[in-house]
Amino acid sequence: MNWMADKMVTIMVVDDSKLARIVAGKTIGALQPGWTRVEASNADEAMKLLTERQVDVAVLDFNMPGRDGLELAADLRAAHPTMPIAIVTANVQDEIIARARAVNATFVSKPLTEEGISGFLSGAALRLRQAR
Amino acid sequence: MDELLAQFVVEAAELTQQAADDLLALDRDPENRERLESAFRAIHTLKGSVGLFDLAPLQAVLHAAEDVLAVVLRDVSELDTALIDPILLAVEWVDRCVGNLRQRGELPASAGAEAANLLQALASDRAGAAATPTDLTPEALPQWAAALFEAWPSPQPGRIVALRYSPDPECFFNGDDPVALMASVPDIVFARIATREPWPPALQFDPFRSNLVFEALSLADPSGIEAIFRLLPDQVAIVTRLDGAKATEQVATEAAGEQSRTLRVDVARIDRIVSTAGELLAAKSVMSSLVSQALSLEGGAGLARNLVALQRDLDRLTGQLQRAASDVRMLPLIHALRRLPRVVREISALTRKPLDIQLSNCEIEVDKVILDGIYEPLLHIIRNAVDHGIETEQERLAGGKPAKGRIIVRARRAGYRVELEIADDGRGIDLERIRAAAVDRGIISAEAAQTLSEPQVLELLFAPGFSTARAVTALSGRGVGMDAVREAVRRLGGQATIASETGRGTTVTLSLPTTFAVSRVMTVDVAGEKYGVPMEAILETVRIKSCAIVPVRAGEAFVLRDRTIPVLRLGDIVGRPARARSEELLIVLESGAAVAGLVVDAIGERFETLLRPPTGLLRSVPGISGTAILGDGRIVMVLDVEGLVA
Amino acid sequence: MTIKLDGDEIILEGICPVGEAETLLSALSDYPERSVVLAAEHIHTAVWQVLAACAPRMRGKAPDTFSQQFMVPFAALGCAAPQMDDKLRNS
Repeated sequence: MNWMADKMVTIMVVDDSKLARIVAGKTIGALQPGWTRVEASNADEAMKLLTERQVDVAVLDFNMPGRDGLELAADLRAAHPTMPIAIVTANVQDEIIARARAVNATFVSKPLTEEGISGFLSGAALRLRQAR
Repeated sequence: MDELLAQFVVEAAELTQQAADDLLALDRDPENRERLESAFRAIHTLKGSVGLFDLAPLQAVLHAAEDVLAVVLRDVSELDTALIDPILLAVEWVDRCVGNLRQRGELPASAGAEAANLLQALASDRAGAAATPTDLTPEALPQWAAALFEAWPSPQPGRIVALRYSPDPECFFNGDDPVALMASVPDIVFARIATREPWPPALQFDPFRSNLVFEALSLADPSGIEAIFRLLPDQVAIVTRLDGAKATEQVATEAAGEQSRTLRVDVARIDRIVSTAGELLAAKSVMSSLVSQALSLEGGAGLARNLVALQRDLDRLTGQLQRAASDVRMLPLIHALRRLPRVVREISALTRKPLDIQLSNCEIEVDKVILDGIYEPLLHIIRNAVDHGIETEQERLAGGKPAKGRIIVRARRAGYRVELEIADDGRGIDLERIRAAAVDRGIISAEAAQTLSEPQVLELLFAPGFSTARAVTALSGRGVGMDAVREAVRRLGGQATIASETGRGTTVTLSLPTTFAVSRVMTVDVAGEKYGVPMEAILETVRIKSCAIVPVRAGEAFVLRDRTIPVLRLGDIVGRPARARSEELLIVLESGAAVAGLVVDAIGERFETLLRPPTGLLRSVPGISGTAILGDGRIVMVLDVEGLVA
Repeated sequence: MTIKLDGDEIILEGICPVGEAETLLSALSDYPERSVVLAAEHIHTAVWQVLAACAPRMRGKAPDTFSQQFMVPFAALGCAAPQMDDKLRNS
């Protein structure tokens, strides 16, 4: 039942560190090889990317110069009520967790591993299929 | 009077005295924390002992008094002397009740009404105490947590964490896997799972909406559990309950939840559950014959497969039921051992030998039958140790030992069993004296005595009627020896062994089952009656010509593969001798190194059952190790192979 | 594929992810008489839910102690499963 191939899924990785984006890209590629990956290095770039193309899933670094991942997540959520969004961070404070829950974003711990993100990706795949 | 009650009366008098002394001292010096703690401990212990009997009014009053002190202790506040009076009244009343128990064996008729008045007085004090600004009223337990604690009344003291996790219906889309999270919670002792809404018919069922609610109790560290659910704070509630017995400052927090979480149940009711579980186990064994019947039908393979699947489910569920039912009967050893220090103090006074007793690992839990059964033997072993083992103070000092004799009671888990070691640091056992005494009493001949090895000599201590006390003392001069100890322990399914080192001390080790596990039993028929024989004791069954059984000294024997095996006739043992037959059916039984052939009329079915030690009337029937329930609900007596063969 | 059909039996193997819930649901709604063999290293909650809702005959072993001790008996209850409100605190 390879329904994930039904339609191209595009996943956006937003992180100010190039290295982190490479790691994220590799990890996601290993788990969802059929997905198209696009990247942005900050919140503004990400918002711009969204106007240019369809994005189905977003993986956001929490700690970024300018608007942080959570602020970006709030903006994304306003425009895309059902988009699966993950916040990647090493810093899990209760207050941040509460904010992430408020915008219905999933926490993924940093450094990113296949094990850490696989739950989010399979949930996201599920959501996208349900939406269709 | 029942020995337990007699012991309680003695202990209670001392504890009420202690509590009264402490309370009076506090009246003069309200800041004396030591006295406060001591009063609390005395009342707490008293409450615990009262719980062993059916003394509800005492229990309620002591509980209330304990609560009042617990609040003061927890808040590190000074005791308001106005609180002392009602507690003191309560303690004095308890003392009067105990006096009544001693003289008449019952509480005064007015006890119920008096208790109600005392409770009211204590409760208004508690309300007063709660109003003081330093008091932090313990947060009421959430309803679900209270219900959960009630659903699984923990027999273990200590901290327990209640957890309720209601995953968001959309949580699968966030990548959550609630079962995996629950599986990562360590030390879950109880869990229940429910649906949020009833399951819809398959066609309308949305598999990707979570419809589950989880509740669990764990003994793990709450911070570890919180960490697991850290990312889902809105879906999880965690409540930690601490136990009163462990740390005094936690007692008050616990008090609120305690009443709702434990339930005192008549043991007879629990036993009904246990024996129903046993019956179920036996009824279940019929399934395997159904399977073969189904297989023999034409096209019955499918039916047989269904039956096998059902049988597996039944196996699992009956197993769970049986474990759950036996768990209810489990109590920590300390219930039986806590009276020992007092007894040792008494013995010490009586013998003028200064003594010290240490208990360790007494939180290990055993079935109530075991618990009730070991106190007597333990007492006896300790009396023996003091009488025969521990030297007088002068002898000890002369021998370079500490003046105080020491007795250590140590429990240790050994697989499914528990080992209780009772060690003294006395003079050890004089093997020569044992030999001489055995010859004296005609147990063995002088020549035989000299050839015995050390373990064999120590075994003589367990021979019926053996006692080496130089004089009959107030302690062990009661006509019971180590044989009674061994017998009592054996009836519980245990073994007693003894080891000794000259000049260093003696150690008696009791190896006991902690619970009554499922045993495999085979039935045998004799004179139309069924008896059970534990499968583990059966080496083989043989059919031999009657003439192959030959008289040997007082008994009979037959030869099986060059080995001469004594013969026992079950018919003779139960008083219904069989007529002479040309052929005999024997089951060859083994117990330790001993082997015997048991003549029976027929061999019946094999089944799994809960083997329970004999209680009540059966306790005194020799040759019976317990009872088992057959598939049809009939009860059979199970033969005590060790007793028969040895 | 972690859900395999073998005659009258549905075998769960490997890591049964969330998506397999639907596969299992359709396999069980087509033939409710099929029994399920638990032989997986991991079974996602969604898959457990299908087992609980359909309550097929099950054999084999659950992947972990919690599942074996609590999920298997819960799933065996089917429609008889208890219900609970999802309140976390006293209101």
